[in-house]
Amino acid sequence: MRMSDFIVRSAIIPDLKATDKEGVIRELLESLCRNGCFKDVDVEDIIKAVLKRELLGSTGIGEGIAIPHTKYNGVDKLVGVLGVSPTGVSFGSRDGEPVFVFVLIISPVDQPVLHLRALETVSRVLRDEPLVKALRNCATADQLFEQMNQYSKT
Amino acid sequence: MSDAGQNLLKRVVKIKNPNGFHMRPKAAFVEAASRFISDVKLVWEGQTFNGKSMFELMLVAAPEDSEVLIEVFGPDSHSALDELEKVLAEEDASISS
Repeated sequence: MRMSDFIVRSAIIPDLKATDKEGVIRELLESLCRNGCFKDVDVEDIIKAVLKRELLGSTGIGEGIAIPHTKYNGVDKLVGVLGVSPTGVSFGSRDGEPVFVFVLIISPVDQPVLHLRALETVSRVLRDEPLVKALRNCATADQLFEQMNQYSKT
Repeated sequence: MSDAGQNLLKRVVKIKNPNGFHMRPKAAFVEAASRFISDVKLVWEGQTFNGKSMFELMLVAAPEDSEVLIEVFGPDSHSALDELEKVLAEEDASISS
């Protein structure tokens, strides 16, 4: 699996405006919604689901990276969005550091293996420190997508 | 249980959660592993991962019914192995993403 298999290019946000956890999750999900990823689904309900998941433990995995996610009944395929915060956001990460790079993933409830693979793929790609630095320096969504793809090899 | 000497202990554990070895049990595993002095490794599909690193465990996409091998080496390896197996079993009992 490659990140480009599920990251929606047109939804990528190179300069997240939000400064808190809920705001970032909302900004990323609304971007996916604007790009037609959720049909017949109330985006507010998905926001609630992702926030509920965060209450079980932050998806900030350290090194300035977070992978907020949920499985959701109303979606029929795995979708994800990449977002970068210029200033960093306090996300309750394991290492206590702010998060700059976010990959939000929504997957169908009946495909747990796909969900695990998506999280693994994102983690494998974002283990590359030079890539994360490069992502933080991208000015546009297209640049972010190209950078991500350059490193996102199976 | 008291721990004596340095022992490399291994135990195969089957993932029983329908969601597989997902992020929350991984976090619980890392947290538990970090409480022990012993080195903790997790082997899956022939690859070895540091059991005290969330980033490394994120690479373990073990689905339901698959098996992982826990390897523990150090002065408190017995109690660490028992605790880690318990953590996985407890997390398997709860189902969420």
